[in-house]
Amino acid sequence: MQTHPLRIYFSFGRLWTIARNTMTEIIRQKFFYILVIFAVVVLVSSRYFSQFSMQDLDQVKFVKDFGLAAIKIFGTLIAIVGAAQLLHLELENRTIYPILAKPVFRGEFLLGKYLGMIALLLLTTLMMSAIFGGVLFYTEHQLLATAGRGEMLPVGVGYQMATPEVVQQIIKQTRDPNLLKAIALIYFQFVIVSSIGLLIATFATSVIFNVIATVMIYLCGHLESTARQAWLGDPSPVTKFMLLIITFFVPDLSAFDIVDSVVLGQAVPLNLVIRTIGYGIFYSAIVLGVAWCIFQEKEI
Amino acid sequence: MMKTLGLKIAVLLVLMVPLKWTFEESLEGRRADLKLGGPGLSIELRAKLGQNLALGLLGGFRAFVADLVWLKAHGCWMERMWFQLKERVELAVLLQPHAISFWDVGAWHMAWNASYDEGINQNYPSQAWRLKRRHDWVMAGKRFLEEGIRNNPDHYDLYFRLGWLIYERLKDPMKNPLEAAPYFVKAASFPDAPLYVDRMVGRMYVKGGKTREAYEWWKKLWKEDHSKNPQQLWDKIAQWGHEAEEELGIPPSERVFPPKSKSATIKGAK
Repeated sequence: MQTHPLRIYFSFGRLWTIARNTMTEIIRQKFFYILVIFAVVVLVSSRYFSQFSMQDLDQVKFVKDFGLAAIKIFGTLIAIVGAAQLLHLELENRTIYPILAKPVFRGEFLLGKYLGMIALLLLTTLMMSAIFGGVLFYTEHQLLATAGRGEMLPVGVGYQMATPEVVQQIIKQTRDPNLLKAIALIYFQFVIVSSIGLLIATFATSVIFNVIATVMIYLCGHLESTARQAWLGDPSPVTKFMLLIITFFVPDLSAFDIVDSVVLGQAVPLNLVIRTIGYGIFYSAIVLGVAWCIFQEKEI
Repeated sequence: MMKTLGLKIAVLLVLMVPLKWTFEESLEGRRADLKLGGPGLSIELRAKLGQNLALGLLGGFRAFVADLVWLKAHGCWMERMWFQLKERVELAVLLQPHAISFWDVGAWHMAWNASYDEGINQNYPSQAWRLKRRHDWVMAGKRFLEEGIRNNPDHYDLYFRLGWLIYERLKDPMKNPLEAAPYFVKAASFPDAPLYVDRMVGRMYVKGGKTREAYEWWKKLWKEDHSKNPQQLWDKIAQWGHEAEEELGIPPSERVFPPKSKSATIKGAK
């Protein structure tokens, strides 16, 4: 009698279990708490820095700039350090062996780890955004209270009566729905950075190397569009080769930077945001594909 | 095994590169159309920013870096270090050329604060020196605003500030209202310009001795919806309009503006 080998199919249940455990693991680490505490402190202190501006609407600009920068800095740090530890800790604690000894695909394991990481980043981004929203609301409240007392508001380099237009302008600036677009694109930067971190983790032997390499790629990513333009120009063969590596393989992270434009009230169409998110998902999927290929062949 | 791995990765990358390139070109083209972002990191900008801020810029924190530069400029203002202030303000607008307040407040620092301080600076050997320095700073502010307008032609604020600078600072203490008036007219032509911008046009005509033009301007304003602005602002326009009617000898039957005592009670006049 012929025996059929046991067939195992891809399982969302297993994926979910691995993702959930990954989130729990990262949340339990000290670096996560420290970064979150720093993020909260910086977000709240953005109100303090805004006092150096001379205009009411400038105060809102400062709060937005500092707040969004804080979300990006701390989110990126969590993404880089978290992704660097994803596989390393599993190997160090030897927890990967019993998992892979069970009927779990390596691809499932890797994807589960990644999904857990980006889910955690989503939660962290939402939490930081809520605090940022609170600081903005407080700023608005203070400015409107000044207007309500009949005091003059600093507009331009002079003072102006709080006309309905000025009040409307303050509300428009503090409750700008375009901020959500900026935060969404910041989050998708984290998604890309995590995928790069995970890819490096599949072949790197130390966390430090992983962190440094991811930071380098992150910085190069903000120069990718410049490199692309230079590559199209007429550089020397050596320069062209270096630029080729950056242009072909490093993501264009500057495409995700719309904070300036949003804060300054420039229009950022929704379709551009959606296309940029699409680019982020496409790039992350390819990087994960490469990571999966390497992890599949890795001797554990 | 390694051969298969290499082949798999190569296939993925071959698939990725053209698509990635197409995606990026399309996104960049759209961003350029919308004028999103600012200038890239050049060697000149890197030298001006210093290592830490350049790293911040590389990390994609342009707005944050611009704000830090602005805070440094603020410090220079407190210390009355005018040349450093100018340098930093120029750097801030280089990073964020669409930040209207940077242009506006930067020009104010140059044309008002620095020019005044240099005008009383006893370290200069003579009054002629002081006046020269004072004038130079006003002109620096003017040039700065003109550059701001070239970068942001669709905002009323900078036209208003330039008009104000020409009126108040360019021939200080002799005021220069008629040269300033066209800038106020331009500023007032923007739909989002507040009422004080419109009022300024009329005031420039009055101060320049062009009472007829001022009167026509007040009349034009008086036809607008009064509910959008506080009554005090309309009262002032009514007062100035009435004064112009008196001066021009407009017959009572053709007058538009009520005397001061009555204007205070008018509400929602069209």
